[in-house]
Amino acid sequence: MLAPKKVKYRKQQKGRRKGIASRGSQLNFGDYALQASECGWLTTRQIEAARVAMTRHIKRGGKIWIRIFPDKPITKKPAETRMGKGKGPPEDWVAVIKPGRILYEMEGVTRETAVQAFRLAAHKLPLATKFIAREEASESA
Amino acid sequence: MEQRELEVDLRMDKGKGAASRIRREGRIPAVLYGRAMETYSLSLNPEELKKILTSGARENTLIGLRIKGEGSEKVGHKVVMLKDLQVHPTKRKYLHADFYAVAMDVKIEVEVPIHLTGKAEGVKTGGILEQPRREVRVRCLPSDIPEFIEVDVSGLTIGDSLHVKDIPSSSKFEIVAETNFTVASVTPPISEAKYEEIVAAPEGEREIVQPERIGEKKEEAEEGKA
Repeated sequence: MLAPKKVKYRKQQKGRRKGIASRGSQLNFGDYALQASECGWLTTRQIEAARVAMTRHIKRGGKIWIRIFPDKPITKKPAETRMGKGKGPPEDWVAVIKPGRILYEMEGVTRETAVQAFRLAAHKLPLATKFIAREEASESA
Repeated sequence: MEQRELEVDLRMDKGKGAASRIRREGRIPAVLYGRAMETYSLSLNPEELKKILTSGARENTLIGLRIKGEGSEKVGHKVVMLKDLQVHPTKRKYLHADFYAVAMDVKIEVEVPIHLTGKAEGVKTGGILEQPRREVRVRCLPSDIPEFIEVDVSGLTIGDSLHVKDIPSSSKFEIVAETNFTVASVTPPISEAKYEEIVAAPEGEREIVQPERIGEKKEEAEEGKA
């Protein structure tokens, strides 16, 4: 499971997701990518589930890059606890996603395989996503 | 190398307000600069630019700018190259273009795409062809810029790799690379055991490991001393 090894502070504020991704919005490593079309949080389990779905489809061919990392701690109050008494303990890690963010990249497979693998992966994510390919990324206007 | 023509308008109004107005009209702002010349603000039709960038040498195409508008006679006809292009991350629309005026007798450095040809031997036996570097920096005259450089990978077996120094040289251009980067390699597929490990479904309720806080140990040690 993806999680930071060291942190400066155990808890963070919730924050707001405004605007679009400026960093991490280019296809940099592979030939195909899955790009977020809307904003949201991706938990470490969701990122992992999508990766497993893709890897199972492409089997032992191809290479996958995970372009996001869950570095934001999410806290949750224990069940049946009265309000107050401070913020709950950290429960999960999430990656903050803005529209345009490249989530995964893939190389070494055919376009059809990549489309299908990303389709399976997208079903594991709580965001709308789209498939992009290297040539289309450079040609689109 | 083929030179393409592009019609642009010279504009006097600057700033983000003017740029937004231009984009609302369906055009995009652009800028023209070069050695020993003034900088000019332009606007152009993105569809025409797209036609140029999706054919031939793509971003390395030599473009002849036909500048129109008030004061355009001062600028004259310029041969330019695309220096930078801003694209919207989700809509993939062009937002802004930078043009660099080139002198046809002065060598320039440009990034040229590398095209891999042939089917690697290693891929036939189950390996994965990787291309870590898709472009290489080349120094040449603007008229000699190659559209792409072809590299034959058919001789690569599993574990083999091709580097920048293996790229065939030409009399028209020289490859500029301080580091001998890997251009292509054929890696073995992951082992069955490793594959099983990778695709093992994450356990339902795996405990979240609490990370160490930076400086936590140090503080404790200091407290201990005190």
